[in-house]
Amino acid sequence: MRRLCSAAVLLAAGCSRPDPLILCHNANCTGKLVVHRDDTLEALRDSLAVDVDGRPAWDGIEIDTVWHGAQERCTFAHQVRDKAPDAGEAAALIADHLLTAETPSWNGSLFVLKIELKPVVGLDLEQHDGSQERQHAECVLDMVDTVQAAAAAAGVDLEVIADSSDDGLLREVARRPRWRDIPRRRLSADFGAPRPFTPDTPKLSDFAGVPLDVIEFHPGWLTDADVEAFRSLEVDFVLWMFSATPELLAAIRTYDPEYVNTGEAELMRRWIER
Amino acid sequence: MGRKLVSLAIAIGVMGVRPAQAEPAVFGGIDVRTDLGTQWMRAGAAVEIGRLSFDAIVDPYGYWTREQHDSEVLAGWALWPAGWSLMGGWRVSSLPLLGTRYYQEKAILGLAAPLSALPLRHLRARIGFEWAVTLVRHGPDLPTFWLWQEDELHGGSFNLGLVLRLEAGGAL
Repeated sequence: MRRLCSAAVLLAAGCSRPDPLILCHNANCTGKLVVHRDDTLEALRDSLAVDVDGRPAWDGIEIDTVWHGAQERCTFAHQVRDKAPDAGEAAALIADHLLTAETPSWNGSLFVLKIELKPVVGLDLEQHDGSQERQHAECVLDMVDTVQAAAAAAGVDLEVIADSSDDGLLREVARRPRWRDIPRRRLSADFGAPRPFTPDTPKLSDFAGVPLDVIEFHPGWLTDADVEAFRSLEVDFVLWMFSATPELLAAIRTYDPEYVNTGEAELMRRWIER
Repeated sequence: MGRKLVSLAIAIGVMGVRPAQAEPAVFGGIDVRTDLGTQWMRAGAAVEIGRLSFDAIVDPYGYWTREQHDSEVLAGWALWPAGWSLMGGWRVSSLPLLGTRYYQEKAILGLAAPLSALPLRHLRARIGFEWAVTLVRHGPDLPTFWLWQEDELHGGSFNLGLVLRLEAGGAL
């Protein structure tokens, strides 16, 4: 992990300043935190334009994908929505960004494409069957192909994170040869609010045997024991948040995560670069 | 570590109740807390006039490091002599950003009570429970949000704190 604190600041303030990669939460990181714009093409377009000093405020974008069971298609959405666009449209927008942007991301060379696979396929919270798991995994890899081709053409280093709270979906992605062909790939287990506040929060034991690289969690919603269990796995962390409160910023200082997934990309960037 | 020490101090502090000052009094001391809504230790001054109290809490460490700092004013009314006080106030949290600062302004509601765990006459301790809600957050060139403009209320809008104030002072 990169460190920015100078020795003088370390001595003076006793701090070690974290420098995480910033991800654009739910492809909606203009800072307005309008939840119903999460995972919409409009918000994605606006988020791709969020900049600090002429550079994108973020290092990568999170795209949520939902397998719409009734329509049998892979959508770019936060939950099952009949009129959601196809997931490929979001990938095409990102590919276009990589091909046309002067600077692809804040760091200038690496772009992180984080694709979350939502576990629910119907309005009554139905889960994937085996066939739907396979189709959803293929859809995600199709998106990666689109973005990967653009990244290669633009000379951008691409890191792909496949993320889900559903271990079955991660297993399905991980077993596919196309996944293993991605040079820089990471598997991420996603933890939301504890049950019963959200129905799809997994147990860590669900992921037994999944070669996890990353765990994503909200630091305000889990106990220290949960986080210590994550630490024992020697994985990197993604901290996600609703809004950048002092408590969340304190958690970033405490956990020094590799990634911060935020809807306030400009605010977070300006806090990190302060 | 800091939060654990604060928790221990509060646990020790709640063992007894100390009578409140009957005459106008002035106190100064430290304000420590268990949560990370502010720095875990700040400094404060209090004035008590009968059942009415006024507190100003400042953040010398935050000012010195130019990192996050939190300043607040509180007013309290003792529900009965030497008993629990209803507290209300305003906190300004200031966060450093590249080239500027970002502000989160919070209304505070809470309860506080005097304790009697300290042996010296001019020392006193108070315990408080605070609930802070972020009413507005703003900064140059960044969106301004009022509470009612939030699309969805969530845990980030609220902060619950357990506070111990250790102070020296006495009647005027």
